[in-house]
Amino acid sequence: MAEGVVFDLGYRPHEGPRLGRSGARWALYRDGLRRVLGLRRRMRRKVFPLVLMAVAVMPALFFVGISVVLREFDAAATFFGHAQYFELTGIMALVFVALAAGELLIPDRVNGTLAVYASRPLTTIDYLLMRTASLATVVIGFLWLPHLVLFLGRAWVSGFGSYVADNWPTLWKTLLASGVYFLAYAPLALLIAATSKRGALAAVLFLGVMLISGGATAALVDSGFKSFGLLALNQHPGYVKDWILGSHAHDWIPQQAGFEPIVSLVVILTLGALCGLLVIARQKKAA
Amino acid sequence: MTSSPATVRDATVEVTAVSKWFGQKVAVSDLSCSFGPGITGLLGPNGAGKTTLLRMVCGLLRPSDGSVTILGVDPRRQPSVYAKAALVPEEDAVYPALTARQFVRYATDLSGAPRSRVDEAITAVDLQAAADRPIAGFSKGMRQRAKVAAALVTGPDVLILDEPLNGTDPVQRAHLIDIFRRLADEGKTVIVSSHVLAEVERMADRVLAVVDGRLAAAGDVGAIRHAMADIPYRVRIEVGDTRRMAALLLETDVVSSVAVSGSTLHVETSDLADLGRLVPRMAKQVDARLTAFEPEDESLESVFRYLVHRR
Amino acid sequence: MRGFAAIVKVSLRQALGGKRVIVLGLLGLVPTLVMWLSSRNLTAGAAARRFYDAPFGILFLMVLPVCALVIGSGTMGDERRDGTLSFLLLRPMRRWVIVTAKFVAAWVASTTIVAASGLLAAITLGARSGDYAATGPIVLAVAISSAVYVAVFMLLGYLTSRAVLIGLVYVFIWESSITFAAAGLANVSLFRIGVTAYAALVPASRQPLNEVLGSLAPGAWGAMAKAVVITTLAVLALASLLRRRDALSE
Repeated sequence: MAEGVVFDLGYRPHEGPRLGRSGARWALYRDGLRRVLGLRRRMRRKVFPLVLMAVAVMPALFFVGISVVLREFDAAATFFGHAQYFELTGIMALVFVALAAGELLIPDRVNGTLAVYASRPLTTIDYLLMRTASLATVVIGFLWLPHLVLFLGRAWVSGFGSYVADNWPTLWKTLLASGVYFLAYAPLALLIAATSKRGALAAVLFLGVMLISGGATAALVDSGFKSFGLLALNQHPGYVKDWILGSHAHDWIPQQAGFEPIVSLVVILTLGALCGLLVIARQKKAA
Repeated sequence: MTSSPATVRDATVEVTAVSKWFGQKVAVSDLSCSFGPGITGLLGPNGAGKTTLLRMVCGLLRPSDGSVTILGVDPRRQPSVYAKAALVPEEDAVYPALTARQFVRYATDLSGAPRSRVDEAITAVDLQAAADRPIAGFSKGMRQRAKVAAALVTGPDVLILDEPLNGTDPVQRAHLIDIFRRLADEGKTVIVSSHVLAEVERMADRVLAVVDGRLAAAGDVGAIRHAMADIPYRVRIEVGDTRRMAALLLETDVVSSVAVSGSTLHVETSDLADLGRLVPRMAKQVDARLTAFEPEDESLESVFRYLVHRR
Repeated sequence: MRGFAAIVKVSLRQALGGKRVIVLGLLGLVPTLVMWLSSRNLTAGAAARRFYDAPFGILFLMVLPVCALVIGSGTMGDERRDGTLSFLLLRPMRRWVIVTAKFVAAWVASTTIVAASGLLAAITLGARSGDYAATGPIVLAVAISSAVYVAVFMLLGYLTSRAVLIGLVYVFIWESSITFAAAGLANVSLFRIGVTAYAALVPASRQPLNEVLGSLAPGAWGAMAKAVVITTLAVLALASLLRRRDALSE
């Protein structure tokens, strides 16, 4: 009878701990962070997120610098407050989400590596949740960081303890507002990315939809069609943000249409849920 | 170009002292060779520079140094030469939304070839049943065949194929090799880059081996092997009295080692021809029956392995 | 000629096939929808002014650039990324012929979508105001602006995979904001080339457009000349790149 033997030429099976589903999720989350931030990739993939973050934080650092030099916090010297700051970072977040959503969902589908994830202890929901979580971490962090810098800078100049004690709600409010911006933008961007083969194309379509909806609904609300104010997709997060922060930075289209901020919040959550369900359905089909 | 196994007299493609670097990475280094009618196999390990060489031959890449001509013209300066030359690239260079027939017709229209050739080309690669299906639904082998059909339809005098047998099953492979063989018999220049060494050995009239961007060997497989004088030949000898034969062989100058395995001797020798003369005499001397005398490393695979490991 | 026509045909199919044309088409309906709804119960004059307020702006500042960016940047860029560029280049055709054919296909695709959008909006204006004079000029203006956008984005799309990002910055920051700030900067604004042709052909539009867009020197022939020059330069530059550069897929 023929005999056989296999010699161990160096391959060693993994003998360490098996981390299971939680380990797989964590790995997916870390991979998502790397993709969004361009880490462990060529320099040119890092440039855009880094530049965007630098531009977002720069004014806050500048204002803190002015306060330090003047040795006092002067509200007039800081050109705008937390609410207005979102006007700047909100647009950047829009562009960032447009590009990052494609980076997270498209390569796996187009390169055929979804099957690799499917052979691991991961469900489609795990995959999408972790991808969304990594996007949320970066976007919310990017939106909130300038506010944290501004807050701490003002606290430093104004008597740290007393300033924090009096103003600590600003921290959670700006964090909450950052979350609202993320919820307003990310689901639709992820849905468009889930149905596209090219990240660039998905980004343009998402931005086109967001911007055109703003322009069109402004004209229609102005003409008396108030219900169209609900379709001003890029205006709802700003309106809710003003509500959270108790400010009035802008005449938002839903506001002009006569809707309360809670309605904008409901629109954001409803659209987010709908887009989320569609992304799940699409992803299950693609896997 | 001076005569050597790397060049041919009636060359249609000439590569003269060609080098190509991408930044700090040298992909091809001072390579000279030529290709003529018949099938030339281009071999080399992954990353050797074969695809880079072929893309320079086609004019898709500009040589950093040296020159390439097809039918006497630089293809980068005179795209008209592409009416007589075609490339089947390794990558998936197809339009998924088109059917195979539309894709081949597109190639015909771009090259100015008669549309009557479309069906001929599709039949030649045995894609008739799937000709009107979108390429997006094709297997890898079918996509390969669609690409080959798109190349054949132009009736090229020079056909360059980069890994054309990838993804094809044995029947399709044999079919494609027949096509290449037929073209070669018609006097066309066929250059095939492949890892399927057994098939290249079957179809190629000559081979060029590229290792680390340099031309490592050229010519007939057997002749290349003979040119490797520093590597002993390995020969398998089936003989009755292996021990006495082994003792006799070890007394000769041409044998460097003998391994005994049952009724088989595995011999390493520096002179195959001499050994071939000595072995029958020795067998007669020990009154043993000689049933086989076979070189074990004259195959293309062995030659390829030696070439790669010599670097 | 056969090769040229074949490239145009296949490229048109690529540009107009798939889901993206549906999305672009839906975006293209927005100016008409806005015009129809916002000009209800208005006088003819008020309806005309309303047209130049939001619908015209949405068409030229949003719908047109988005369509041109999507279609233009993908024309050569997608061939390169999909590996089919070698299929095109290894043909007995001059490079400028190949590039021109790709440009024609992208221009026709972009113009078809955006001109249909503009035409519908202009017909709506006509229905509201009784004046259909804008229908022809708007198609011409779209064709002119589309040509320059597509040519520039086509070149950009070949040069870099970040073409879309650069295009977005150009369209939504430079064109939509910065060029409004100074009259001199308006000269380097691509969409205005088509709008100046429109203003020349529809004199009634000059005042409202001047109010919305700032300085606008009307001139249909001048606009067409600018478009021809920009398009020719872009096509020749791309053809030169194809000749000189290595055809590497990404």
